[in-house]
Amino acid sequence: MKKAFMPLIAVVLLAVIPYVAVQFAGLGFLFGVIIPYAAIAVFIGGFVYRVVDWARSPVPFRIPTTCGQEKSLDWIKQDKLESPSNFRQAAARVLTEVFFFRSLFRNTKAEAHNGPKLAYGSSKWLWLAGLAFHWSMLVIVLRHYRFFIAKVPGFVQILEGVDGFLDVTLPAFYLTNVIILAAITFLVVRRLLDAKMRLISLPTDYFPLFLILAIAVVGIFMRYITKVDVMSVKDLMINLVHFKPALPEGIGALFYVHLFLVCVLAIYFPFSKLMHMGGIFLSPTRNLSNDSREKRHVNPWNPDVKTRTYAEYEDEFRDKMKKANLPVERK
Amino acid sequence: MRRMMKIKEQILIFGGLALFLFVATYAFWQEGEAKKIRRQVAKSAGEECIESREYMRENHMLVLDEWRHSAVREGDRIHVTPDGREFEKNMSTCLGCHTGKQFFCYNCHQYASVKPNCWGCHQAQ
Repeated sequence: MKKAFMPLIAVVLLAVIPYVAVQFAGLGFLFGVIIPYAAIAVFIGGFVYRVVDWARSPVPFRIPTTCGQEKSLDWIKQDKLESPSNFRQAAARVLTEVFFFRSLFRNTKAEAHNGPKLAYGSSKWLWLAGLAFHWSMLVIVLRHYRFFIAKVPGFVQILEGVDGFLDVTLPAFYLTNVIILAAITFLVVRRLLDAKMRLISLPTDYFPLFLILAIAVVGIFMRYITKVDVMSVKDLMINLVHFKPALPEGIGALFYVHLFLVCVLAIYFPFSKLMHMGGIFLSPTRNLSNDSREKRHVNPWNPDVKTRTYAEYEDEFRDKMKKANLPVERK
Repeated sequence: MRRMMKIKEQILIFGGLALFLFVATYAFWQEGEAKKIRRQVAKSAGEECIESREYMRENHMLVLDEWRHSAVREGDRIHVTPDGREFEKNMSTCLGCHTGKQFFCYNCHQYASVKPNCWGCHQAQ
């Protein structure tokens, strides 16, 4: 339980810091300007560093994990997605994984029943919650572009329209708000309820979940309940992205909690499991084609070993071999 | 052959990275300034609003929503402020002081990308 509580306490503390600092110590400039700049710099710099680091890592051999029939004789049907044999198929495999989480769709659950009976069953809940969470997150992040771009681009307005199509409550209720809360709650509860999951879950699994949950809850609070002056918030953001930092008056402390937690997430991102955002594309077990039997993949840094063929050996000893009546290949 | 593969890989990886950088820094390339767009809001002609400026900034939509409900459904058309002043629950009450819907509503709403559904029924003035 300690593994879950420590991250929870950390997130609560991280949320309290900006509230106290802005409300009582007047550190708005630090939390509204300096830390956001630091966060975006660390996020982008760290992300690029990690990807470049991966790109420089040698991948001499084909090591895809496959679970389908590989390309073989013409009359054996190949499973092109599960065992891709060329670049196009491998790319399709990566992209379907990125967009639809196909590997999670295969998730199974083991249950021990009374007596020595172990049952495995398909379990799609992780797949469903994961998909719901990630897509909601994407929509929410893109929706937030309305705070960063003076003339709100069309795709943001379309997203807002689709997301709020129910047209209930004021301000308009966004579906993704509820979906992301439900999905994160499931993802946390999933780790807590099952003993096997509890055992393998680490603080680094809980921390991002709690952090994103806190960000979402504070954001939802600001939108529907406590309210902030959206105009001033947008002024602040526009000023930031145009490198003319200026802190507008009268933004509630809750906004700084939201912003600071997002900054924490951005700084934490490149050095954590969250880098699976870039890593999913660069996993050799997933993005390589399974063509080891078609093409020869030679390790590029193999040392140049001096070899001697049998033909060379025979050339040297042919006369002696003939005298000793040993068989030779060339007379 | 091997070198060609390597180059193809690098193009893919760094192309993807460039795409990420474009999306992550998209806002930084956009035009537009903060203050100029919205602060041309027409000044109010009246003396004092029904609530403080700060309250109205954050909660005007809830006030209008409450007005709509109590006026249309319950027939209560008079709004009484905490300090005892009375206002008719009518959009014209707002626009009577804050003249010009164009500047009073649109500038901020467009800036914040919030579409009020008032004008779906009410006639624009």
